[in-house]
This record gives sequence, structure tokens and C-alpha cells, in this order.
Amino acid sequence: MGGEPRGDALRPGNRDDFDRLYRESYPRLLRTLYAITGDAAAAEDCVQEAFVKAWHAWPRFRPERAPEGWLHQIAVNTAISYRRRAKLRSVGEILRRLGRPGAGRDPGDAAAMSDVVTALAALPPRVAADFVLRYHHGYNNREIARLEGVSERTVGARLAQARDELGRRLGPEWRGQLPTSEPAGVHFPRERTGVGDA
Amino acid sequence: MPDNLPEHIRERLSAALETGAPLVSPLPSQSRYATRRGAIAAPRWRVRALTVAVAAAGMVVVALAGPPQPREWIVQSVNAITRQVGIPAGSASPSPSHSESTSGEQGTSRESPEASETPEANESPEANESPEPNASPEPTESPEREQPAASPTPEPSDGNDGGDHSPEPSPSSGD
Repeated sequence: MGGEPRGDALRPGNRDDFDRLYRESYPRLLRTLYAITGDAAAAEDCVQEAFVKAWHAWPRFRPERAPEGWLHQIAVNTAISYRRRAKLRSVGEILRRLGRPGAGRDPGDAAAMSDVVTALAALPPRVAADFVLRYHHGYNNREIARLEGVSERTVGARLAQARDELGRRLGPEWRGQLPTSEPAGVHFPRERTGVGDA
Repeated sequence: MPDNLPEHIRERLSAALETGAPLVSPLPSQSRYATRRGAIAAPRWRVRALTVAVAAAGMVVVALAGPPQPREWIVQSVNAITRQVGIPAGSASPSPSHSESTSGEQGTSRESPEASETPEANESPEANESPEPNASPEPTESPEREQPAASPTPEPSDGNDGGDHSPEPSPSSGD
């Protein structure tokens, strides 16, 4: 979080400032959207699309806002739209293929996609985004709440939901631990291993 | 509720995200917003302007050459009312003696159209076109006008009305 530009240091409508924002925010947004979509190419596409939308809204950007939070909201909304369209496409594909053997999933994609990403992509988009922001990007609950314009309570509930779902899919250690329950350096035993472990 | 994840779980999460999504970000000049910068703003503005222009032109066309029927209805209704009001006004303004004399002169030829106007008002072409405007003035005006016109010869008019309808079907049906 340290290197991100402050909103008041950016000039709305300025191309150089937007380019800087793009360079600094792109990797984080890509990872977050990857967790939501479960597809690297789709995540890249969504991030690019989100920056196109952000560029059009850039002259109206209010400097008092956190720029990355603003981008984050645009990007997550873009990913949600992508998931909705993908779901509609898959339903249409099922209807079109009714009575015929399905093509199934590309084995290459299935191999490349780890079980962790599969489980994350199965979560509701905002829940998956909060989980990645919290445990991958290192934001705390207050920062996530400020970023998304929601209460800390909401963020806490989403994180609890994510841990619960992931614990059910990937193993109980994903449910988390009490800070005092585990001695330093000792890990919970893994009950289930997946492709992503390799 | 625990809020922390074990370190190895975090590492596993990071590894899954970093291996799946490449870190190499394209240069700003290669990004989509940079290549679309000028291309999108202009067409959107043009499309909006075109839409507004087409909508305005459509409204003008509709206003000028659109549905003429409502106005024709109004004109026809007003004409019908003025005709109906104007004819009795000219005949009713004189004294009742004049009306009686005229009715007496014309006799049955005058009675039959007046008597037939009220019951057949719904069958007239004007009444078919605008039933509501024609229907409203007649009930208020026709009794006033009919009574003086029909009062000199109430029996023939009533008899004609009743007799016209009842005998006519029988000969026609008989023929």
C-alpha cells in the first residue's frame, strides 16, 4: 500500500498522472480480478476495460478520494459484469448443446488453474476481492472498508464468509486461527492437497 | 472469530495468484485506454448529438404531419354542434306562432326529419365519428327543440315513429 499515489497528488484529467496510476495499480488489480474471474486472460481483459472506464471518468475524479479505491470499485464492477455475462454464455451453451455430449473444460486450463483459484472464483465477487485484499495485498479491515466505501463490519463478515467457504473446499486451516492458538513456526496439518500445492 | 490465516496458507494463496496471473504489466502506451483515448470520446459525442437531432426532427414531423385525426375530430365535432345549434337557433328564436305556422305549413315533411333526428342520432355519420361530443349536446338541446316542434302534432309524430318501425318490417318481410 505504501507506493500508491495519493488522491490529492493527482490532477484529474492529467494523462501523466493517470499513466502513473496505471503502472502502480495494475498488478494489484490484476491479482484481485484473477481471484474473482478465475481466468488470467479474463482478468487482464477486465483490468484493461476497467482502465478504459476509469480514463473516461478521470476528468471528474475527486482528488479527496483514494485513487486505488476508486479504481478498485470500477475493476470489481467490471469483473462482476464479466462473470454475469460468462454465466449467461454458459447457460446458452448448455441449452445449445442439449442432448449432445458437452465439450467439457479445456484440460490445459484446468491444469493451470489451481484449486485455490477455483475456490476463490466460486466465492461471491466482493467476498473474493476482500479476501485477496486482506490476505494477499496486506490491507487491514479498516483500509478495505475505506477503499470500498463500506463498514468494517461488512468487511469482517465477508472475510468470515470467505474463510468459511474456503475451509469447506480446501481444508480447515483456511478457516484461520486464533492468534494465541498456534505457537510460532508450527503449522496446521494439511488435510487436502491440490494442484496448486506443487 | 479468528481473523488471521496461517503463514503457509497466505503463501499458498500468493503463489496461486502470482503463478496464475502474470506480473508483467503492459506499458501505459500499450494499454487499451491509451489506444482508445481519442477514438471513443468523439463517437460518443457524435452519437448523442445525432440522437438528439433525430429525436427533435421526429417530434417536429409528428407535430406537423403526424396524427391529424384528433384535430379533425375536434373540427368535425365543433362543426356538428354549431350546425345543430345554429339551425334551431334560427328557427327557435321567432315566436312559437311562427314555429307553429312553419310546422303547419310543412306538415309531415318537417316532422319526420326532426322526429327521426333524435332517435337516429346514433346512426348519423357524425354521431359515428364522434359519439361523445354529439351525444352530449343533443340530450340537453333536443328535448327543448323537439317539444315545440313536435307539440303541434304529437300524435302523428309518435304514431309515425311507432308506426314506421312496426309496419315496415312486416311488408318488407312479407315481400
